[in-house]
This record gives sequence, C-alpha cells and structure tokens, in this order.
Amino acid sequence: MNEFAIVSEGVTDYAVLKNILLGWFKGQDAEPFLKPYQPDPTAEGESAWQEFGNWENVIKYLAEKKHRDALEFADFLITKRKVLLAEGRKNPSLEIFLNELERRSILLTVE
Amino acid sequence: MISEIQIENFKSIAKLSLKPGSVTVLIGENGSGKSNILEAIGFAAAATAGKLDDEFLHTRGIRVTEHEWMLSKFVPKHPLLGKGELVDAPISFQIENTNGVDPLRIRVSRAMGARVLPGMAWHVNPELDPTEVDVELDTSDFLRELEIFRTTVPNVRNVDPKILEMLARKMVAQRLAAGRKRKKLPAIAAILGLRDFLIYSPENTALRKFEDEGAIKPLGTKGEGLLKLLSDTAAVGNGKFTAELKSLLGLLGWFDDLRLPTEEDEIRGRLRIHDRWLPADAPLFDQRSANEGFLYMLFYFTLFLSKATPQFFAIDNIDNALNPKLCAELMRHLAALSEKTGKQVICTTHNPAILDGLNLHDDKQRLYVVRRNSEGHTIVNRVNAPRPRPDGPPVKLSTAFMSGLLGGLPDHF
Repeated sequence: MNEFAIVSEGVTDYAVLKNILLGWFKGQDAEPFLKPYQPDPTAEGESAWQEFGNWENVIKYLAEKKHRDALEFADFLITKRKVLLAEGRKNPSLEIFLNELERRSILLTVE
Repeated sequence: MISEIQIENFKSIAKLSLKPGSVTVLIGENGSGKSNILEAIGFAAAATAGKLDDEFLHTRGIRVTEHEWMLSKFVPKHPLLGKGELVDAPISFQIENTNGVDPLRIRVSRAMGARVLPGMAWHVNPELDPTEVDVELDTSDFLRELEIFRTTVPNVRNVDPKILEMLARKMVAQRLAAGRKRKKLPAIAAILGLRDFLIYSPENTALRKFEDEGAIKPLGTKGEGLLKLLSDTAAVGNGKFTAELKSLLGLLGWFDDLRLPTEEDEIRGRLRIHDRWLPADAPLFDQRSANEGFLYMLFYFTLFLSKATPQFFAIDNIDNALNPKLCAELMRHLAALSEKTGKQVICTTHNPAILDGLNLHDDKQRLYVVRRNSEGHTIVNRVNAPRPRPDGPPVKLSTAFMSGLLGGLPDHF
C-alpha cells in the first residue's frame, strides 16, 4: 500500500511532490512508488509533460474521469486541494470525482 | 517451487526481494536492473554448484565483468577483524521454497590476497543454524585451526588463553559445519529446480543450426541445440510430446505440420515443416525457409514441454520477433503449460502486448515493475490485479503500461 497516483498542475509540481513524499517516507522499508498521471508521462515531444503547468489541467483530468484508470493501479491519489476547494460542486464536471471520492476516501492532499 | 528470492549486494541491487509465481514477468526502464535480477539468480545457482568461474557463468547467460563490478557499489565495505583494512561485503542470497526444504541461505565473498587461483576467485559460505555447529571437535582439527587463528589475528597472544580456546573452537566448528553444508548445496539446489537455472535469450541464427558443440545441453542460452533436442525426443518415440507441440504451433496461421528429425534429417541437419497453403503432396521445406517467429515459438514450446530442460529458468526479452497478438497468446499458453509441466519461468519484456496474456487474478501469474529507487538501487513493485471500477471492465494491461498507469516509464523526459 504505497503507490501514489499524482495528478498535479505540471512537471514542477510533480517534482516538488516527489521530493516531499520521498522525504516523508525516508527510512521506511519500502520507498513509495510514485506514478505521475497528470501531466501525461507519455506525452510526446515537448507537449504536456514539459509545457507550463496549469490548474485547468487538473480539472480537465478529473472531469474526464481519468482518476478511475488511476485508482485501478494506485492506492492513493494526490491532487490539488485548492482546485477542488475553489471549484468544488460549482463545477458539474468535478461532481463525479467528488462523489466517488467520498465513497472511497483515499485522498491525500498537499497544498 | 521457488517462492521468494532475496538478493543483497549484486550489481545494481543493494537489497531486493522477489516473490515469483509460476510465470513472472518483469518490466521496467532500460537499465532499471531487470537482467541483473536474473543474473543474480543465475549467480546463486552457480554458487550452489561451487562453479563460479567466468566460463560457467557466461554459458548460463550471465554477463561476466571484473569481479568488483559483480558486487554492488551501494553496499559499504566492512572493517576486517583485527586489521585496519576494509573488505567487501558478501553477496547474499536467501531462497525460500514450497518444497518443504529449509530456505537456502548462502553468502559469496571475493577471495582475498595475492595468490588467488583461477576458478577460486569466490568463496561460497552457507549460512549455518546454531544446531548445525558441533563444538565437540577432534583434537588434531582443533590444533591445526588454532595455529591458523594465531597467525591470522595479530596481538592474539595478549588474549586470555581460555577465551582464545573458546573462540578457536567455535571457529573450527563453524568451518567444519560450513564444509559439510557446502557439500549438500548441489542436492538442495536440485530439489528446488535451481541447479540448472539459466537465462535464455534465443537468437535467430543459433535456432536454425542443428547443433552447437560449445553450448550447454540440451538447450544453450541462445537456443543452440533446439533441433538436436527435437531429434533426441523423436528417437525415444514421444508421441504425446509431438502432438502437443504441433497443436501449440497451430497458433501460426500458415502452420500445418512438422516432422521431428529422423536419423537422416539429423545427418542433413534439418527439421521438415509443411505450410498449409502449399499442396498436400508438395515436398516439406526445412527450418532455413521458416520464419523467425516460428523458430522462437518452437523454442519456447519445446523448452516448456521437454523433460530434459531446466525446471526453473529465465527468458530475456520474450517478445523478440513476435506479433503483438501472438505475444499475448504465447503468454496464455505458457502459463497453462507451466501449470501442467511444473516449469517455473521469469521473463523480461518491453512489449506491452506480453502483459495482456497475463491473468493477474491468478496468483501464480505475476507482474513486477523493476525500477531504481531515489538512491539508484534496483527495487521491484508487484503489480496487483486491477481494482474494479464503477464504469465497466478494467483497462487492458498493455494500455495501462503504455499510458503510465503501471509505472516503469522514464519520468525525466
């Protein structure tokens, strides 16, 4: 139970989260397994993986219900709490994510 | 069957535990350490046989380097008792099994000193349980060892003679017990199926040749000897083997029939094959006209069906030369064959299609992501069967791998 799906604004956020998590779990037997899902790690060339981060990327990822793919293979999902707080249920496209989240309660948040 | 392999201090591995199933697939970035895991197992197998010379390792598919590079650079050296110098930590293995045999625990150290003889570059030390060390010793053994002890450890004369005797007695007892246990290692390795472990990485040209004198029998790491093995199998009249082999090769759309080599074929160095698109009375062609994929399939199925091949082995890059759909189907067949024949295999691949042939709900089929941790050490993470989702069937494992869901993709570009 140490696999983290990371849905962040961009690659710099991912780098920061990676350092925080590795530091947090340092000294434990199994180092956490971090899997970046947003930005898309398979993006080709200089597209999504390297372009400027944007909070709308997070909303887009969640609105497209891609978190369902993520949670098939990861124990935890890490995403931007601020985005969810600001948009929340005002944004109908996030509602599905929030409803499913309440059922599974497996969100760890870092601001 | 081998149920867990713990490795310490080998190449890029500082410490790692792999729990293989009957069929285990390793994926991961280039240079993540997949092959090092396979080589570590091969090294452990060679150690149990007491054959850690370069030639033995090479013929079993292990990339041999200078000995200091067989050790991990991640594990610090140890201070040597009574002397100021540092010595390498040993390479350690612990191999658990489901055969009811005690775990196999060995440490392999580099030989010290200037007079290291060829073939004696490594020392194999079996780990001992306290009950295996008998301190009631024959006096001559004891006196000889006491003298070695006196000359090895400086300032030993300042030590209380009683303590010295106790230490020496223990040391001798351990040395004798280790010697007794070392003699048992090959038999234990045979029970576990570890004895004949090798890493296959078949090659087109080797598969087409009838026999290669220099390779391991019956199948060399590049697939040498495949046709000879088929010929030997035919000679003992194994009809069941032939029928199963033909049925499995039916996965290839064009395949109609093959004749296992007769004595005449062996002299001519050929395996005769029939293509279903050719007229029934057309002469049979031989392996030189067959496609590469056919030879690889023939190799894998023979490896799994034959009783002469190892019980436990590895296949590096199992997807080589195969169509993606065939990759998935091959894995399904190999999983079923391993169930039937008791063979245990670890495969590596970069081809996502291989993963679609695995049923991760079956605990005997296992998938691992091999990766480097934040300090560069090779570690493994098992991929469990996908969790259910609210909107339909799980994503295919090939899609999951390609889209980064499983990990094992580079994250620095």
